[in-house]
Amino acid sequence: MSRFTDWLWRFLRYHRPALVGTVLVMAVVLTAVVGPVVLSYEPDDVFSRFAETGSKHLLGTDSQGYDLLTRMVYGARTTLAIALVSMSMSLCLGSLIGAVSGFAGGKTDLLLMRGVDIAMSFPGFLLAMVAVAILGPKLENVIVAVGLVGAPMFARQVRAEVLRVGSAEYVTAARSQGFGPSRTLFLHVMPNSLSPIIVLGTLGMGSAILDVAGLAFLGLGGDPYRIPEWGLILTQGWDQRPDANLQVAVAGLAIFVTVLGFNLLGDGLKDELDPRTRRR
Amino acid sequence: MSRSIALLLVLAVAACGGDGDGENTGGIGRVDSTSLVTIVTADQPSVLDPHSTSNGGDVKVIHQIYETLIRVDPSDVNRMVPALATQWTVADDGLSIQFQLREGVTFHDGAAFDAAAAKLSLDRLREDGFELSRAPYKPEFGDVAGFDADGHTLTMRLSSPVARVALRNLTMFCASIVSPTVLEASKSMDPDAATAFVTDNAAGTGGYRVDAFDQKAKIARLVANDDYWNGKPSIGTLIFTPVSDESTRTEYLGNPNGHFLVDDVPRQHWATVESSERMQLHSWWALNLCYLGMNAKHEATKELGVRRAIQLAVDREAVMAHYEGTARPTYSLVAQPMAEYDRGLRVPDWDDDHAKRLATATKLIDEAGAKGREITIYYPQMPRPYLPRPQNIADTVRQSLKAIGLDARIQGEENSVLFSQVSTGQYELILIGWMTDNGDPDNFYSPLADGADGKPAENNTSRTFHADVHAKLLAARQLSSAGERVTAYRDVERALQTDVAGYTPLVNTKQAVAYSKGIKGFVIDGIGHYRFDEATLE
Repeated sequence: MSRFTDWLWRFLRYHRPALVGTVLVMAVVLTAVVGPVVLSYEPDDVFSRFAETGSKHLLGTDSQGYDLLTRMVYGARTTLAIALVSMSMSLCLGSLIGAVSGFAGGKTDLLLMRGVDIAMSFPGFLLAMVAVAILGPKLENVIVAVGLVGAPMFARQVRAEVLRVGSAEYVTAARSQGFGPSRTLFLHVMPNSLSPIIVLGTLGMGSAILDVAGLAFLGLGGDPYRIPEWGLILTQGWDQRPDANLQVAVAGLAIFVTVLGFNLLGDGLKDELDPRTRRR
Repeated sequence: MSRSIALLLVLAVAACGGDGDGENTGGIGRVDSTSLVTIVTADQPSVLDPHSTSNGGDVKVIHQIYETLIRVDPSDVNRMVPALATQWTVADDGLSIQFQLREGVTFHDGAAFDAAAAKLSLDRLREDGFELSRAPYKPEFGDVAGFDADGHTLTMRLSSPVARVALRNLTMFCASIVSPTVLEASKSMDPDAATAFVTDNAAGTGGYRVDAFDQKAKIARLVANDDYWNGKPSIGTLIFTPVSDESTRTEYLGNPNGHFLVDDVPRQHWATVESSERMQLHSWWALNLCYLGMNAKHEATKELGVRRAIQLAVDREAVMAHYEGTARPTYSLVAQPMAEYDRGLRVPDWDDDHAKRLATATKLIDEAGAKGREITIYYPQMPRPYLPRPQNIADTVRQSLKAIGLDARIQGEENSVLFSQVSTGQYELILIGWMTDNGDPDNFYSPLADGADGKPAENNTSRTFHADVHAKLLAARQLSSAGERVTAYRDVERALQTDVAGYTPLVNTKQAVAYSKGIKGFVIDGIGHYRFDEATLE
């Protein structure tokens, strides 16, 4: 543990942008975890519509009479959860494809990588839009679509890592001891290819939040009231301008700050974990 | 994409109107911009065959080209006035109506208008001797036994004494009279080709005739009919251009070049139009309602108690908040501006204040053992004139259902999917509405709450057929005295709401068109149909 704290301390000290990113991300995570406990309302408690900001409603209420602050706080929870789930999906699927492709080589590699090439030749957001349009505008479909679209990036990165690590001496040693391919891959190759995945995962959180919010903004997000989500809150506010100007500003700012946080943190991690740029 | 092309095209037409060659304007050609009105509609016109369409975009063009025997009085939606028929008399037994037709009227293609011509069109819309690919209004004419033509006298024979409804039906655009020459020529064609032929050779008796109809861009140009029986219209050219995007359509409101009529102006812009220097707003209480359909056959809403509870729970005031002051609560399936709307009608417990209604409803839910039941409200994703913000309104209804202990959620569907969902019964609750075509109460009850042969009609949201209600409706259809009708339909409404509970009326709304202040004297009736043949430009 102390090795990790030492590392963290050094990391944050030398990477000021990453420090800012960490603080932002921690603030959002803390809001999502602790916020609902502190708040006095539930997200679907109904008050008068477009109530003024004041002591009763810090950020006022929206067109449906819901307390905006409450929905933003619960929204942090759903937004983070959605991003985490879809990013994890990208990560697992992408890593699996990349690892198999890099480790197996030959025709499997060729086939998988051309598939990834095709997927990457489309703008990801466009592909996600098509997927949601086909599957239907529901939040679970949005998660699946964003998850699928993010997978090729991971596949590429993991394949490159596996190729690099695969020729290392300890892998050859494992092979020469007679370990099967799956044991070699998952016990010796993958653990040593983790650092770029961590970086991509952090950056992926940011882009997943943006994609989900973007899809919601285009009306592909599903029921905006039952599940408060920042993109949906933003969309609703946009439809109700100028009455809901504050709502647009608050939701937009929340998305901006969170995505910025994840990106700064991811950038810092990239510098730290890359042996070429690492400070000593 | 096609929308922006259409927009450019119209602007080009308007801009290069008086001068130069103006050749590069697609299928539309050159027009005189000093006597031109551009009508911007939300829906596209595609078929100009009145007997075979129900699309709003078509109807607006059809009203300028074709005419019906009688019309709805523009100043009183409950009255009818002469058009191609100068007078009509209902026989004492109520089984026939005799029309005296206007003499000296000719169609755009030169054919003469007489009773035989009228008979041909009225037969065609009922598919009597004709075959159509779509005959959407055929069921409305189910009580018509036939027509007899004799010179300029037309007799309509009925199989039951439903003269009132029959007359009302004749005011609908589908009863438009099309040139007999065109119809005879189309008779031998297959149904799709016939409709295309009637569209390409559109010839009616109306104040305007088709000059060009660009089928790709869906832009129609009409010019004044020199031989119109009521005198040549003063406005020379009408251009109908569809702009489906709300914000693009709104941009026309500020367009300083030329004269415009903008249809389906979003409610949030009404106030701007009213205070505008160039445009004026004509708004009226439309013959419509927005209601919550309740499926008595669905597992989640099969108990009468649950449906009654939902009726009591809905908060009309909260729903109205989404209409920017252009809606009022409504308590019956009949549109509120109609004479048959009974202001005194209330279902038991409705008069209680909302809190008390909620308490009664909660009790009903508990009694039915439906507490915590998952229930979905389906709503159309695109706004309708009676439903401007579908998602928000659906959520407001959801809040009321949550208040009585139901686990309510909302689900948007593409409009066409949603409307076809009604006939298959794949919903428990559905947020939907209705606009009448003819202004008769029967046009609400027959399609929305009745059926035939033991089966519910396509648009009957209760998905049930009630013999008792059916009998009551049949009897009401035969009444012609205003007083008797009010009583009869009150009876029907009460039975429907207490015994069937297949819907909850929510609101009646205003509708509006915006048009340039320079357009004077154009006629718009209470159903929302407008004609330009008496209009002038300043």
